[in-house]
Amino acid sequence: MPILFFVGAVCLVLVRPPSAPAQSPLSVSLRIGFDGYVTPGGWVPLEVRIDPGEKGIDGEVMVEAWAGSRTNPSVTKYLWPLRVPPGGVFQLSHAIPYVDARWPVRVEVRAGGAVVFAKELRPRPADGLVVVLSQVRGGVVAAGSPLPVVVYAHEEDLPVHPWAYAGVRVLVIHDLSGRRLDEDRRRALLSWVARGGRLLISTGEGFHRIDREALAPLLPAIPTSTKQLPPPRTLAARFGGVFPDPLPVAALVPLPGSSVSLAEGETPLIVERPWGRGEVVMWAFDYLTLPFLRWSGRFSLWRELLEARPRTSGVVTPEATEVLPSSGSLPPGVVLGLGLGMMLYVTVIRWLLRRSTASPSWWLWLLLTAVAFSGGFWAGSTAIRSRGASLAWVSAMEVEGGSGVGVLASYLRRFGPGGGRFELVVPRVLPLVRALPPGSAEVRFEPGAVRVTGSGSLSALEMAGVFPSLFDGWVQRKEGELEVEVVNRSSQPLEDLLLVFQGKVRRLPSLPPGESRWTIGLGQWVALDTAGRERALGRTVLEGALLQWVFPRLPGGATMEERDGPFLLGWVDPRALGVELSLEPPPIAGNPPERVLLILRLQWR
Amino acid sequence: MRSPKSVGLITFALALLAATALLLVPQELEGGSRLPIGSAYILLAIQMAVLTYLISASACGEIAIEGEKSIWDLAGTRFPSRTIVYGKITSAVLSCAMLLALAAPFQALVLGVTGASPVPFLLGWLLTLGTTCAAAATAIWGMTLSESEGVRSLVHWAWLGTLFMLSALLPEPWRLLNPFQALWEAFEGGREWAWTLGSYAVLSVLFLEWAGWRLQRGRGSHAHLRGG
Repeated sequence: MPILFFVGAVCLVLVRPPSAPAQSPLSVSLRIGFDGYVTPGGWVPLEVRIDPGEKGIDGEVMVEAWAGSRTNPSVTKYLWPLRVPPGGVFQLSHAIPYVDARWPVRVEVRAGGAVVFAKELRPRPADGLVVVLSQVRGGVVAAGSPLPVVVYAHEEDLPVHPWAYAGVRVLVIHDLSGRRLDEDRRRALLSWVARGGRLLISTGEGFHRIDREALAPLLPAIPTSTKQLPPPRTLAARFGGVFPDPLPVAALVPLPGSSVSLAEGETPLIVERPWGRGEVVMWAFDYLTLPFLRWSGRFSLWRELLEARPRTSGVVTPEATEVLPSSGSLPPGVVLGLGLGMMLYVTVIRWLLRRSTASPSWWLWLLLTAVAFSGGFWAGSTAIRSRGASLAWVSAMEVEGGSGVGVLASYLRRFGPGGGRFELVVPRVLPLVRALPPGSAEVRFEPGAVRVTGSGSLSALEMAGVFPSLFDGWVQRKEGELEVEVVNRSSQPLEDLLLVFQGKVRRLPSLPPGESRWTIGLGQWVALDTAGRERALGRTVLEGALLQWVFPRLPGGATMEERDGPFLLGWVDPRALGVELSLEPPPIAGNPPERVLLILRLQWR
Repeated sequence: MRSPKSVGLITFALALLAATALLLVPQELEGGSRLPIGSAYILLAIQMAVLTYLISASACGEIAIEGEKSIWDLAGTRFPSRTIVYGKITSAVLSCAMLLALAAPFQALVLGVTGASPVPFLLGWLLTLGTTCAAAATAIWGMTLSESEGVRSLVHWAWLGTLFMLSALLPEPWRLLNPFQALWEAFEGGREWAWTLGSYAVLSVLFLEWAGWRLQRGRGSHAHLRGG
């Protein structure tokens, strides 16, 4: 019987091994992109919600974003502390880079030294997205080429960073609650439109469902009342089809800077306004009302709205790091010294070979000579490399005139002599951090600090953020002259100013705090390439390199219709903007960004 | 070793490698991971080609070093054929090791400036020794084919061309028989270079055994001729 008992017990253990003690229930909800759709190539929104249950949790959340090739991937690992008291919930809204659709995004929750949750997210790629803020999932027609994917979202689903709107062709607002749209999301939305985003606001007789205060600076018109419009002939004439019924519309009062692109008699139906490089369109009707849904011409209307249009991106992009010098050239004296050292070595070896004997001591001398010169060359070359260590860091702030928000992008290139790891504390105003291929980095979000740990001898990082702009500017063309008006709300002057217009450049005097106006004749400009050859564009090598990078990327057309400039370029002390740009520890050598390049796209009056 | 020709050859090889290393020092120390790997790889590849030529040419007698006896001179001695053949290859491999040690300062320079890992360098040395051994073994075998200098040179150059150039045209995975390809694999962190090294070792033993057998046969015919 004892034998039977032990055999039975062993069999039981083998068949059903003891399992680990049950963990407390951990509820993790993950959202990437817009309803799971992303347009690969840029930043995408990521939402993580963790409900650890009654026991709480103390650990961390890790998100891995991959890019590059299989053999040489670039990984940015994000880590957030996860400390939730019993009954609490962890909520994270951020943006992560999603460059290559072949790679998944890995999310892990770690607690007590173990991985308690792990999941690989594989977002669905789309050629373009139409994001609809609406309580009703329907009514928007996917049209245009390439065909976008229509996704329905709520205010909380919108990204907190403007970069995470990558791939969104149009944001359609049917319902909007200002209470549910927090300040970060609102600012991100404004900044996205200012940088070229397109927004459609569909009002109609229920226009009160849209919180106007949240969109106040963007609105092209104010809906004041509602009325029943007889079947509108202008809509049908332009987009085809026949309206079978009267259409309930909101009475829109266009605001200054807006234009009525379609009206039925005195009633504006479609009002538009440019905002920065972006565009805001307001419909006086509701696309969910029955008369509109029964109108066959609505397909053409949607197609015209959703057609992909070439969009200029920001001027400063990650490729800027490629033109930045990351180490100085080897001085000719050093190269000469190395050559002389080699000649000396070959001569000594030749001398020894001529006196060769079969004795062990001769072989020892030969070997010692090779070892001694190897050590000498290695020590010398390592010292040369150490002196070449550097950190190149440039920052640029792009502001769309009239938008009130600016985006700040910093690019950092570090060249370390011995490779290995390095650690930086990045400024808090730049929460979007990623390693640029082929480098990798670990980004750790701590209370009050963002720590970046990188490895390898050469690393490049992108750091970005959005904040209210203290600069604004307008331009007006009058009889062969440009009237430029710039507002500097910072406490310090804006220096080394350049005005770039239609591929030409002109220097301007320093801009003191307050309002400044200039009237500039159009005949006193120099070509950009001529200006680029001038040495005094920046005070340092890096400033000059950044300007050389920016110049060719400024759109040359800059007509009023294109709304692409003119541009005001200048250097500003980040402290004057209330921004502290400093790295910890300080750069090994090189130029910390004591000045930020301001790229202000002037708004046409 | 102290013969003027030998000293001249070693000096020339070292000067060539020194100039290569100096040219490979990057003007700017940036350049990411590609440049350090490129510099180190180029230096080792050139070194491999130079040393392989020198050692195999010496082994087959194309570069005649004063005082060094040819394989047929040694065939007249009382040493067994295999001892002669393996003695020749040992001499070739030791000469290669000495030249590698003498060229070490140039690699130290490139290593220090570029910050590249020393591991591929060490693997490069091993592959150079293996390639040199295979080339020298073939050269020794070529010497046993005929005492004619023309045949020796033909075998020597045909083999160098096959080893370094024709093998590069082979399809995967046979292309790994190319020493440059194996060196690249070593730099890329792969382990396939071990197959290359193993193939060269097998090839060396086969050619040396064949050369020993031919030498033994040749000795018989020479003795017959001498006896006649």
